Amino acid sequence: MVRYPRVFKCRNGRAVAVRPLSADDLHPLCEFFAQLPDEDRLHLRVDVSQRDLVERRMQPPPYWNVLRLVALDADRIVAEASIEHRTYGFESHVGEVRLIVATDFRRTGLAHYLVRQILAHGITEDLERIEVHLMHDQPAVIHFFEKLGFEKEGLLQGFVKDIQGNYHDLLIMSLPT
Amino acid sequence: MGGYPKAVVLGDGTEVLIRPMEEDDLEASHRFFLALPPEDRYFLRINVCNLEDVRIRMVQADAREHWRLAALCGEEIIGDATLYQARYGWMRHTAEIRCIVAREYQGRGLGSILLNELFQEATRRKIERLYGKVIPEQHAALRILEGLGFRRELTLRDRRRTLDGAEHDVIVMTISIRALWRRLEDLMQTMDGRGRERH
Repeated sequence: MVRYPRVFKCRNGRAVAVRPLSADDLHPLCEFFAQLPDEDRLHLRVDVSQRDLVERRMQPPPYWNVLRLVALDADRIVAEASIEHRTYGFESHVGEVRLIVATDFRRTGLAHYLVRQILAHGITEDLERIEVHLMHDQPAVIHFFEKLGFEKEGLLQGFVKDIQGNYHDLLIMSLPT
Repeated sequence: MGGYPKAVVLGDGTEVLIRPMEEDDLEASHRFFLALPPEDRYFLRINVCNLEDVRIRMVQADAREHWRLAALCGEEIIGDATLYQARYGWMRHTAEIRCIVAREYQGRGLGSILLNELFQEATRRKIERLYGKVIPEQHAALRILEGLGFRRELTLRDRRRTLDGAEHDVIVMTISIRALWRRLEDLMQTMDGRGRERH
């Protein structure tokens, strides 16, 4: 069992505290999302400019197991990473990873560190297939996950509609186990 | 909401009632699943022999996300159909369809009637794309969806693990709602509907 908070020294010189998201984090989480560039918000699954959606997304759905980690630079959330899976049924061995990092903490090693943390959690949960779902027009993110060993499995055309109403292809990548 | 409960008559004269699934249907739903032949149960996504799994499925049936219909003959459930649409997020314009029909009612038009109800609801909800998840060995389901114009768009390796521990690929089959209705109109012109709504 991993004990939190853990401290990670980023390559930008900042030491961030990593711990599970708590119910008290709504405000800093909304601040984090508000500071993301518009283009980043467009690529997210929910409209994080809406506080009620951010709040709802903090609650795991019934019968799902979710570990949501945040990285804090002092009181400021600078990244969020999560892994989630069903707790019942014949797809409970499938986990999905999500990751969002503030622009000034990219290429600092933090994203790798967070993904390693949540993958380690996935192993303790006996997950055997790890997926990431993202819009196809995110080459930097795709490259990041490929470097971690994820492989492209395929596209679902037009399966993503962003908050401006534009359609994108959904790419599903998975980590072979 | 489609005027439920809805009485329909299958091509062979069997009278069937279609209505939204209710939490009180748990035991009838469990009986329905237990009566399925093992090969029909094998590829479902939960262990339907386990009442707790069936119960979880039932309580998850949030009317906004899981729109679930039961087909009944008398007191017994003979068909179960679900339209799943995420309540919020980037895939809200899509929905998944699921449909299971008791073995003795397969090939009698009930599946088509239930699917048509799902398609009507999807249209009412302004869904733009539909998808179904099928295991490659589910030949009948593949044939039905392909006949409706769904195409195999993505195969997810080893995504479904069955009760015996075997892992199976999952094929995601998709269609746009517009293409689906065009296809259904084409089919209507070439075949008689086997189920008629009773007025």
